[in-house]
Amino acid sequence: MHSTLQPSPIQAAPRPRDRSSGSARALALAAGLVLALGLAHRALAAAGDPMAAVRETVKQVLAIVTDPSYKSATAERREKLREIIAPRFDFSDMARSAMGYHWRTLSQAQRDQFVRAFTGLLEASYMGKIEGYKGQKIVYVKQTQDGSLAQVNTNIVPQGGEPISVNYRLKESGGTWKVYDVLIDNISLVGNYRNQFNRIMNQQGYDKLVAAIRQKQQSIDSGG
Amino acid sequence: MKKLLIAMLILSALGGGVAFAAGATDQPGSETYADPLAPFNEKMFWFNLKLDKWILRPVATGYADVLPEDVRRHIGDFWDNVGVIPRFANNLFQLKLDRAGTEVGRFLINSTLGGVGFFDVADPWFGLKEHDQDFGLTLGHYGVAMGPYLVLPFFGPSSIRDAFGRVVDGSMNPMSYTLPWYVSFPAQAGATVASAVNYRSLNLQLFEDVDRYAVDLYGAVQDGYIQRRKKREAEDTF
Repeated sequence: MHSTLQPSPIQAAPRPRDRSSGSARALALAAGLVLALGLAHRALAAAGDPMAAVRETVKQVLAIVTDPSYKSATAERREKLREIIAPRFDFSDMARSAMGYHWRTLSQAQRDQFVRAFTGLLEASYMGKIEGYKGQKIVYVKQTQDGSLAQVNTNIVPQGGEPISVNYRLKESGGTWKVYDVLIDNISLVGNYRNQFNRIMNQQGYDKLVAAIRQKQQSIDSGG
Repeated sequence: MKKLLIAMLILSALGGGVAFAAGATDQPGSETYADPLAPFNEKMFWFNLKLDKWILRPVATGYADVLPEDVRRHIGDFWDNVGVIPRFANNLFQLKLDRAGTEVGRFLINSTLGGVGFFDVADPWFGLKEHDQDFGLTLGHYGVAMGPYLVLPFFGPSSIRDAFGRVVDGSMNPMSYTLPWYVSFPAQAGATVASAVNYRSLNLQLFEDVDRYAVDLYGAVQDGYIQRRKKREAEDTF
């Protein structure tokens, strides 16, 4: 997508030579507009289309999960999955958001620790779920975009069952679309964890929360 | 109608706006909920959890072993069809006349062509979609806030407003004014239990997943209820 026409913005910016001339100004304005549109287009082209981004990640994940050569190599498969998932999800943003207003009260070391713990939990949950994939159909319903924010709606259709809606919320940053929340059956995952974490933070404090998250991750991992 | 108005006033005074504690981050939806009834709610939540673990889940699992999923879905359609009155009435209360009409149409079609409601043919054959409604949502439509979160024994997550709505919806059941109480009460209770077992049997995996991935199960269920209700309310405000 991002190929042919990518002029450097500085070189391409036409400078209005004659400030008094109305037509020159109009020309400069038009050129500026074209440039601005071109740049916007370039930014979009670089990040691509949000649905295509989700589709590509899901495709890669399913290719690994359904690959029989990984059948007996769970650890390797997990490593591979982690490599595919990591660039598509903004785990630190999800962690910060799930911590809500308590985030401000944490030290930098606690923040780093919490991001690691929560990332571990999300990865374990996601991988545990996706490893149980049994050929459910994934339908890409629609995408909506508002500047650097987008939502991609998908349905997971099990054989003979009711479809479950899984909608991804993405933010464009550094030229890629990154997932910052997932709505499962219209319930925000990050919002749901935020309420859980808020309760534990208020009742038991930060250390207990991190311990509980780690314990949960272990129980998910050991449960397969 | 006067009684209803008084009840609404009391409720709005009680509720005093959905109680939100300070949400400090700039992201939308980053608020957390105040839970003034937490001591009661946690006891009820625990009670419901035990009830589910020792009775409802085992019964629903056994029931699921006997009846195939397809059959259970049709039984679900049957119970859905039976519950037409509150859906019709609350669409009407909210002046969604076309939707109220659709509910009547659906009921007539599904009760006849759909084999006493076991088949929802109104949707695929006539394009008549169900529009779920309840009195809690009607109150919300007219500006009554959800009020504090409330966990009901047996029925699970609710709120002060929605629990009141549940009573109103329940009183619309024709059994309660055509039959003497000693017949209607057990009959309604029986129907509630039967539909609950059927519903639970269709959601075995869902319940398991929530339990599996939640760090704090109470908080996960509470948030799930509130998020879902707020979304429904947002859809209703037109």
